[in-house]
Amino acid sequence: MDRQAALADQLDGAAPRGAGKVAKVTIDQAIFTSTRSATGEGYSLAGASAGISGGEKTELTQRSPSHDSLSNTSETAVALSSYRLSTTGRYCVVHSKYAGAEQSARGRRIYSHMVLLDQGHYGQFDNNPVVVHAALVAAVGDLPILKAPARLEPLVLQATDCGSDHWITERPKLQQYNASLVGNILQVLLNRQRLIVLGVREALGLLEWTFLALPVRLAQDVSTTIGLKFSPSRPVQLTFTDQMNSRIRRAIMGQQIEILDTQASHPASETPLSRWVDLIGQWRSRGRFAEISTLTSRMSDKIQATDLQRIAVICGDMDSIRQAKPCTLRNLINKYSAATASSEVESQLTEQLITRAHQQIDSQLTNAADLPPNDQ
Amino acid sequence: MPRTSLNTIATIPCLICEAKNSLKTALCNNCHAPMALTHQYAAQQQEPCIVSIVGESNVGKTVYLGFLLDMLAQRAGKFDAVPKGAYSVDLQQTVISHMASRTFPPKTAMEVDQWHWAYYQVRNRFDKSKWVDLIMPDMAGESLAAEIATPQSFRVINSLLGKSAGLLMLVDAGLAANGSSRPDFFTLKLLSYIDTIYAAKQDQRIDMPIGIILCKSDYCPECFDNPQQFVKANLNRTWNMCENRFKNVQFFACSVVGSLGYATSEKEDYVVPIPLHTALQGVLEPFEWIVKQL
Repeated sequence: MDRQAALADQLDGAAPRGAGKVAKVTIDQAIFTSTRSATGEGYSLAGASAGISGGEKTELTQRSPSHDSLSNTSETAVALSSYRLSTTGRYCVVHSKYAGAEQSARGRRIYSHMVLLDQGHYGQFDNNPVVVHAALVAAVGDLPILKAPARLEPLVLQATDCGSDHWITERPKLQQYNASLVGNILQVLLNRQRLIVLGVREALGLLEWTFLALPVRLAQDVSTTIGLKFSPSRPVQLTFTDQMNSRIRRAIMGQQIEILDTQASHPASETPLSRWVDLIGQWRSRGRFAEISTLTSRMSDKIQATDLQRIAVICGDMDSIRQAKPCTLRNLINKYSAATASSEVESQLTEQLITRAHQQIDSQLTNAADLPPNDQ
Repeated sequence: MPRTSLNTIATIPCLICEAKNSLKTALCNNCHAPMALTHQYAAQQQEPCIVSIVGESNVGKTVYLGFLLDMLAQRAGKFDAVPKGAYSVDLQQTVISHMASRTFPPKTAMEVDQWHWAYYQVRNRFDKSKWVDLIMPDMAGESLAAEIATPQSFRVINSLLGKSAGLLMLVDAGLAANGSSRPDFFTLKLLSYIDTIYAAKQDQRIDMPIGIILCKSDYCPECFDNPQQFVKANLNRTWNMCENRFKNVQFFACSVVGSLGYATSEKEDYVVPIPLHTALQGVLEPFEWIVKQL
């Protein structure tokens, strides 16, 4: 943890978040489902907290899933959607599931519980909708609130510091990530294109992974759904759904939307962003979340895939400094002294690498001088 | 051969909202209405009339429209009717097949891309009058309610109602007869919304034909004797609004279900209505009237 803290300091100049720190965040919430009331029946915002404005309520009504929107027909199916409201810029994360029969007995009721976060609160959840979703599910439990009061109290969510062990164990487990799949998704998102990913079983884990590897400023604008049927009424950048069908084909005709079918066999090709994905994978498996967070938060939203690949190489070289021999360290210093950085992040990383390499050389020389003459 | 730049990619305006879309688009980028309607209109070279079926959620719009289209397809009354495009048959097939299985069709989702749209050519076959092109969308009641509450939240509804040549407004007569004020208030809100769309001056009345259909009249058969009197007695707010602001309103009673059963189970806390058989009454008359007004 000390090494992580030191690197984070070097990258940012700011102290990393303390390990094990848990913050309670009070945020606005709303419920969208089908109910019968004195003034009407059907799908509507059944309840909302006072801080949600009229414009936000309209947008929530437009985008929330209604009848037969879940792509999985299992009783325990859940869905996630996340988007930024165009009216106020707040982040909305929605947890949807089945909640018994609809009151008119024409199909199952879809129940959606959503939370709205401003930028500061979203940052406390690592700018990751999967993390918000997990906290929301933990806070609201399994039972839907079908007779919600029109005015809900704000909801308290638990934001756990990403540097703590508690955080690491609470993250959705993704034992093996498909580097090629993550790389392909990242490539499309970096190009600001829309993407539909078909046939992923561990979509929550994959999405969490994807957001971890995205520059924060870009991740903040990525809207996504998991487990909902594709609909142009819910325009999102990244959709995870089960399989291609006529509904999706019709909806995407004439649109600039990429399709990634994980079940179809693809000819072997180089994984895009392989170095970057591998770096994030290694850091993630070693619990270096604070460093990932610090690094990705420093990147501009205009960053390209080639920039990420170069940054990954620099970080990989920086990680190797501790074990490197003096000649390797000198090679690194020469290499990066001559290199031209294409971004400010790259420039800072290069400087830090050169500094660390020099320090390591000095340290090795000092250690060698301290050894008894027989051991030199 | 001249090169086509991005600026000269062929576009076509949506028939409903007039937003520009590329020729390959299946659903309008703006309102999500099917572009097949626009392509059909372009092929027919005849401007279609939009007849919108509106009403509260669970009033019976899907069932009514499904049966109406099926009757037209079977040359009911004096009509010849031809569906333009296979998609126009989806709604009637869904309704007929579900009712034949003694279940009501599924709820209409709020997402516009999930609505059924019917494009039919209709004429009176006895006097060989000109074919009239009709577009009849099956909207979700909740979307309509949301649009009424916050105009422009569902732009496609605003566009549809603004372009409609006529409206068939469904009201739950059973609820009204039971003393519920909900149908009256919803219809009043809907009429008021239409009033604001047309923005008629205070001394002018809107002359768009509106057929108010009292659905589920099997619950209150007196509707069939005198629908106008029923509205005056049980939907008084609606009656007054029609008198004040609309010039061309007609009242009809309608029923689709012959008898209803109710099913439940010990584990569930809801009751499922089962349409045991259909007995159509008053389905075609509102349509006949509104076609005459076009």
